Amino acid sequence: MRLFNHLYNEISRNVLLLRRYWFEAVLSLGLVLVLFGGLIFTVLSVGGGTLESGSVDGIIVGFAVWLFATTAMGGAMGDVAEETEQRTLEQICLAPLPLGTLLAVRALLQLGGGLLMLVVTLMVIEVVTGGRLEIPYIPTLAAALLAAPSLLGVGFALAGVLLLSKKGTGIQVAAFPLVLGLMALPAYPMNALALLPFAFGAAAARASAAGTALGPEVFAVIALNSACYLALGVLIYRRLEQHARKLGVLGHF
Amino acid sequence: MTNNLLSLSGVGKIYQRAGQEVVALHDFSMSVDAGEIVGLLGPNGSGKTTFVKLVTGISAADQGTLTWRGKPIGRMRLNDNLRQIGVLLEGRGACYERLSTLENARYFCRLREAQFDRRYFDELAELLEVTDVKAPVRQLSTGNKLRAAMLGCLIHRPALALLDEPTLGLDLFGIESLERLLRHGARHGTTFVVSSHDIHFIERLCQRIVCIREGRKVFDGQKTQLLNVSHQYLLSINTGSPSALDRLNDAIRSLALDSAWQMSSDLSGQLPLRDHQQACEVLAALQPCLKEFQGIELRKISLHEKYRRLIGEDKAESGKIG
Repeated sequence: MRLFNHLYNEISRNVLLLRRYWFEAVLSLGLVLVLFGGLIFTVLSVGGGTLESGSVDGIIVGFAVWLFATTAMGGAMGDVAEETEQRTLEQICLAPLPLGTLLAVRALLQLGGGLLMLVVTLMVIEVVTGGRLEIPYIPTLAAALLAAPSLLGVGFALAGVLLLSKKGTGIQVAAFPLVLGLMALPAYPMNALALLPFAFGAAAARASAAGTALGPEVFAVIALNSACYLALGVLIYRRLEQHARKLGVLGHF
Repeated sequence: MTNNLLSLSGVGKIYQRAGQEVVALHDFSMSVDAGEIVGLLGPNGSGKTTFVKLVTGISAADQGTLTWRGKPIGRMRLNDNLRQIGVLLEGRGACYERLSTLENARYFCRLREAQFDRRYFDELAELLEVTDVKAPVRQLSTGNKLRAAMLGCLIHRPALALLDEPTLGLDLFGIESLERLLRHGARHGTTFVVSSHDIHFIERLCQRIVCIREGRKVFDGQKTQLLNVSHQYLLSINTGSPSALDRLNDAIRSLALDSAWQMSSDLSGQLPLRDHQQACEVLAALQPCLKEFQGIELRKISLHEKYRRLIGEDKAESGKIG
């Protein structure tokens, strides 16, 4: 009940911000879509193919998963960076709910938004490709969703680093190509690259979108990978938060 | 049930700054009872903000014990103490610039797991003279931003409010309304620990004063006790001529006072006086030569002067200045 109240509080805050700054939200979404359209157009122009030929199907699905993945990773990390910048980090530390739990509540909320966005994007993709790219939603979404906690874990570890270093922009900028790199790795079928966070889940989601049937062992490996990285990320975060409190730098900017 | 809200015993905190150890608090003990308004005074870097950070867990103490209502802080179930504490830190409080004063108050009230009471919010806003509660905070002036932050700190009806520099950026009227708000809070059971460099604000508001210097407590007692440390009055005279100065010195010598005439320039100076009676005796003795003086002022010594003297004397005693 306590966590639901906090979740409701966070939803209310986000709705207020979205309502007041709706133009900014629409603009940033539009910018992402324009960039994506530009990327597809460039690839098709250089390669000489067409949308119907299926040569950019991998990029299209990859983009949808990337959007979701960046949301997952940006959750706790982005929050710490934003709260530090606004100098409100200390105030949210003064709540009965531990900072880590509050960040987790916010990250879950963002993940929910990201999932909604992923579903919508995949549906739009189906329409844009005239139904040619028929995506098996359940296994694709399940693979992406199961893999997301691993990036949440990485995000938590980086959030802990941000509590100490405060160089938010640099770490955030470096994180995006990191996600892109993890997603692009050919980790499916399973190989050593599957040990990295999110790589196996992303590759499996792409394979599923392309029509490969995923077995239960694939989902088990994705879940195990996620659980390990989430636990490790939270552990690192907690150690770094304790250290930041000891040093007294929690609210520094 | 104990009346003691907060207690610190032998608390110490050392920061590492550029490879050097900086003692922020040393063997610091203090307790705060329900219903008090405590003024925390100290020069910059004396440890006032560290005190607030340690009490709220933003920073961890290196040694000593901190208790909230008799229970050790840090071992509390569900951070219960934080539900009952409101904090304004270094003149900044609970405030998102993109939300309005009302939205901020509602958000931070719920974050502290309390029921938002619109009527109570309106009451606080009226006391603080906040008129526009619906404009995003980023559109407000510095003083109004602080008022919004203050509302966010007090909206959950905390048992203890730790206000670090609450007058920063407030104009005269803002300070008066803040004073009203704090008195109102105290009447309704909130305990305040107010740290500020605005000594007049502290003097008007607080009955108990705690002075910190270089992380050590140098005074903890009632304001009247601090004001009565040695002398209550100060007589300032500008003699105007060497002959008048001689006559003044003769008159003072004849009185055999426990304090000495302190020259502030060639022809003027000050004389601390113990009490009202001594002030009358000195004025009576000086009456024959009063007409010769160019200026004379007798006033009660303020907390400001007592505080400066306390801090200054301590510095001299520890051999760190002069």
